[in-house]
Amino acid sequence: MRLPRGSHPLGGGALIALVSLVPPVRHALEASMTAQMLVQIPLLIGAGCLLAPVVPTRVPARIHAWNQGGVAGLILATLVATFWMLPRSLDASISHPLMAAAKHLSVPLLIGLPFALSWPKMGFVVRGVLLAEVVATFFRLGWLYWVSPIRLCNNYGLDDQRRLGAYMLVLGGGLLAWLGWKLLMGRFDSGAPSPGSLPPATDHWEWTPAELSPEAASAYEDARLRGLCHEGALEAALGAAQRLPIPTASHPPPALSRPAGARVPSASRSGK
Amino acid sequence: MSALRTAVLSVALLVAGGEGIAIATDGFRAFTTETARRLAVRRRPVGLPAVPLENQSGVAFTVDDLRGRWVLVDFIYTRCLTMCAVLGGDFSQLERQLAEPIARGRLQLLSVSFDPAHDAPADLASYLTRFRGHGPGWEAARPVAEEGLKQITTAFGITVIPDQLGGYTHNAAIHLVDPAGRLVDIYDVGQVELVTRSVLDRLTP
Repeated sequence: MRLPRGSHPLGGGALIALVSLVPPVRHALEASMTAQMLVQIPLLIGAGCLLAPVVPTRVPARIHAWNQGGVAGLILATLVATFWMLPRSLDASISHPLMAAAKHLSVPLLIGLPFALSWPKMGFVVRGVLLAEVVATFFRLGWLYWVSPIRLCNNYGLDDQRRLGAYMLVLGGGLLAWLGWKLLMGRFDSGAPSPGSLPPATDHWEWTPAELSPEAASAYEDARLRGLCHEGALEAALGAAQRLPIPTASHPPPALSRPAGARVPSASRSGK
Repeated sequence: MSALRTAVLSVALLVAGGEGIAIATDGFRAFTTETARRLAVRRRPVGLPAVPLENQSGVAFTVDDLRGRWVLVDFIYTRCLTMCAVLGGDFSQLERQLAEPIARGRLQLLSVSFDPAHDAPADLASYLTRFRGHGPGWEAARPVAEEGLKQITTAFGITVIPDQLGGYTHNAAIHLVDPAGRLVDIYDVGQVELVTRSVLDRLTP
């Protein structure tokens, strides 16, 4: 969820959703089933993801108590995505202006945004299940579109539907290959580490906020809610802990509760 | 505590979402617009607008003039070589199988062109000839105005999209209109036996 410096995520997200509503653009994006499902809807989801970093910090903090491990957010995003995968929803979003408005609002706000807020909280298992399910959905729908002799959308032709099916099978295959690669390489993370972050590690989730001092833990939590990956948040938390006033007898050091040498997690692994 | 709240919210979302999807799919029965259109018509018949039409002989009439009879309606364009040919075959069969109610004036077959720019009365007449349709039991007609075309396709739920070959792709079906001028049922192309039985059932008091 890291953005290039100087970009305005709110503006970017809203802009994508609005531009997609401009009649010629909308017409182009909805001219084929392939474009609507593989370009327009992903773009709108992306627009929602771009909104995540600009949500005021206290909002995700409040939601957090109801969204442990990102599960509730994932369920919301999945259900709304299911609705927009129904052929009749795609048809209706072309024919009925109200459904078009519903699509342009709900796809960013109820799929992209909750997904972006929940993904950093998801554990390995939840992410794995989600990704496996995404791959399976691409294969299931791709196969259905590829072989179905019946047009599923009244607004789209059979050729278009078959082409979409083929693309989805290819995309599902690509995603599966990428997942397999990630698993084989032993790393499974939300993003590439940025320069200056902790070195890649296979056991980087060994470090949990529980091992941090309360101040560092809360800084860690804030950073995660802002959308940083685990390492990024850990780094931010350690940085924040260092900036706190010098400890006194009544205030124990706000650093890590781990014993000496625990400034970076790699130190604890050096003996391995 | 957080885990419990998350579990409660997740279950609530699943229940609400499941309910939402159930409503959106007519109880998991209609995933496509075409199925939804058929279920909706059966549940609530659709009143048809009095669209002005012109038949294969150039005679003007409106949809309202058909009241008092049951009408089987399909939508075609005469250049069509695929779906409309199948529909033409179906109607040709229906005209023979339902000859008796047609002869007694209780049933009418009507093919409506959604391509009025190309389908002049002469084209409609040759379309009927192609399928050995003999008036007045089976008529072909075109809307006389662009507005009428839009009205009638909207009322019936027909979506027409241009294809790459200069023709059209359209949802093809056999529509049943009751004597009160309401669309009451929609059948698949090829369901000639079902349509025959259904019409005869409705005609028998």
